[in-house]
Amino acid sequence: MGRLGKAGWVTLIVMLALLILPPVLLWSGNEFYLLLATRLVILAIAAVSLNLILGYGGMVSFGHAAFIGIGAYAMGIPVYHEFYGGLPGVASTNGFFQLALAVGLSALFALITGAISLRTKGVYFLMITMAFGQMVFFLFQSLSEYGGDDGLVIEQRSELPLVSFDNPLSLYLTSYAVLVAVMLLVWLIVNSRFGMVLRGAKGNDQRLITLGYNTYLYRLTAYVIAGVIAGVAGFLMANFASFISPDMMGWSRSGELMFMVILGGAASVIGPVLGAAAFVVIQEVLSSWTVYWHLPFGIMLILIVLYGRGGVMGIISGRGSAHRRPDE
Amino acid sequence: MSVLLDIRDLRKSFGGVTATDGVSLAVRAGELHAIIGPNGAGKTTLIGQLSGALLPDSGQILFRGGDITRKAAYVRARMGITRSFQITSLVMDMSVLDNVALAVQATKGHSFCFFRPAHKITPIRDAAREVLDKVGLLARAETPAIALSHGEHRQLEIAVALASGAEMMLLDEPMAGLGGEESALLVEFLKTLKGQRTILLIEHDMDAVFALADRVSVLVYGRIIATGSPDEIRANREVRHAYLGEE
Repeated sequence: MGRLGKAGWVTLIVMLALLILPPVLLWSGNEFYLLLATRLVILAIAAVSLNLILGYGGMVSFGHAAFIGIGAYAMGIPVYHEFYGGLPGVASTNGFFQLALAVGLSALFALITGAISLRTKGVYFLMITMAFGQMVFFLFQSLSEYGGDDGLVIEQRSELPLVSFDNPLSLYLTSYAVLVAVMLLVWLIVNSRFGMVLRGAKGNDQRLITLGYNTYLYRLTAYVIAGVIAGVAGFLMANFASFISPDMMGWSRSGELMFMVILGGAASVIGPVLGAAAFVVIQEVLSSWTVYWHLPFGIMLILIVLYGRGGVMGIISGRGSAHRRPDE
Repeated sequence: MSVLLDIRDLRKSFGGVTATDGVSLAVRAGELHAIIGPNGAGKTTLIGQLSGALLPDSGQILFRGGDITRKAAYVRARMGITRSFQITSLVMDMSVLDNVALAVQATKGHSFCFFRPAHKITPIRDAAREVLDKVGLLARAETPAIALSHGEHRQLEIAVALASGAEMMLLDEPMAGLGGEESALLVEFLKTLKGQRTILLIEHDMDAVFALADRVSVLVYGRIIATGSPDEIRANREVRHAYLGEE
C-alpha cells in the first residue's frame, strides 16, 4: 500500500471526500447535505479529541460533552449580552474573543475536574467525569437568564475577519480546516515523546511510574488538551445551530461521543472521524424510517462491540486488534 | 565500600499480618546483594517499600544518605532506583524497542515534548538498540512485546531496568519461570553487570544466588535472620534450619 499504509490511505480518501462532496452537493442544490456534513465535521472534532484521552490515554471519560457545552455557551452568552445588555465586560460578537473564552474556560474546567478525576481509575473515573459533566448540565439548566432548559437562540454568529459564518459553505470549510488541524495535532502528539508516555501509561501505568514518569501529570495534560479541542468544537456547534441549550452537554451526548470513538476505532486518528460519519448518517437514515431509531441503533452498537473490535478502522485494516499498528 | 541504600528498622503490616518486621540492611555501592527466604517471607513487600509502591508503617530508607522513605515512586526512579517485577510488567501493546526507548527517554529530562516524532530521535533509539543488543533481543526490536516468549519477557524486563540507567537495581525474581538453560544465560548476563550497578536481587534459585551474590541476607517472616557471604550463609545453622530445611 505504499508509504502511507492503509490508515493513511483511508485518511486521505475520507478527508478528500469531506472536502469535495459537500460543496458539490451544495452547488447541485442539496444544501441539506452540507448542513449534515457540517454537523458531522464538528462532532468529528470532538470525537478526535475524546480519542486522544480514551483511545490513546485509556481514560474513559463520560463527560466529554460538557466541554462542547462550555464552548457553546462561551460563544452564546457574549452575544446575548451584546443584544440584551448586562455584563458589559463579556458582551461581544467578536469571534476571537468568544473563541478565547471557550478555550480558556474549557482549559480551566478540564484542569480542575481532571486534577480530581484522574486520581481515580477505570469505572470510578467514568462515574466522576460523568458527575462533573452533569454538574455543568444542571448549572446551565438552572440559569434562567440564558433560557434554562429551553436554551437560547443566538442572535448573531461570531464575527471573524475573512470568513462569514452566516454563509453555510464558509462555516463548513472553516470547520473542516479546524478538523484537519486537530487531526494533525493529535497525530503529532501521539507520536511524540509525550505520546509515548501517554500510550505507555495506558498499557502499564505501574511500569511507567517505575521508570520515573509522573504519569498523572501527563494524563492531566492530555485531558486539558482534549477538553480545549472539544471546547472549540462547541464554539463551532453554537455557530452552526445558532442555538444553545443544556441538551448539548447531557450525559447521553457524552455517550454518543464515546460511541463514535468506539464505532470508528479507538487508537487511530481517522477512526473517530469515521465513527462520527457513521453516527450522523445512521442516525439520519434510521430516524427517517422510525421515531424509535434508538433501538436499532443500540443493537448495532452491541454488535459492533461484540464482533467488530477495533471499530470500522479495525475492519478496514483486517480484524484490527489493539496490538497491531494500523499501518501493518 | 560506601553504603548506597540504607534500610533502617523498616516495618509494614497488612491488617494483622506483619510483612516487614524491623528490617535493617545496608546495601553497599557496587555489590550484588541477594535476599533469600521462603514464600511469604515478605521479600516482594520489601521491594515494594524500597521502590515506593508501598509506604512503610515506620522506619527509614536512605539512598545516598538522603531520606527517601516518603518519596513518590517516580521521584525515586529519577534519583536512580529502578525495579523489575516478579510478574512481567511491560507495555504489552508496544514494540520491544519502544519499551526500552521509554526507559531511555525517562533519563533525558521531562517528556512534555509534543511535536517531534519520538521514533526519529536517534540518540534515544540508538541507546535503546544498544541495550537490546546487550540482552540479546535486538533481532526482536520491532516485535510487539506481547508476542515474546516468557523467557524473552524476562530478558526485556531486565533490558528495561538496565536502560533506565539506574544506579540501584531492585530485581524481583528475574529467573521466575525460566528453564535451566535460560536461567544460566541470565546468570551469566547478570555477572557482566556486577561492579557496574548495585543490585538487590530477590531470587528463589539457590544456584543462581550463590553464583552471583557478594552478600546474602536471609529473610524469614519479615525479619532478617542472617547476612553474610554466600559461604557464611551456607554454613549458618540457623539458616539451614529455617530455610534450607536441614538440621
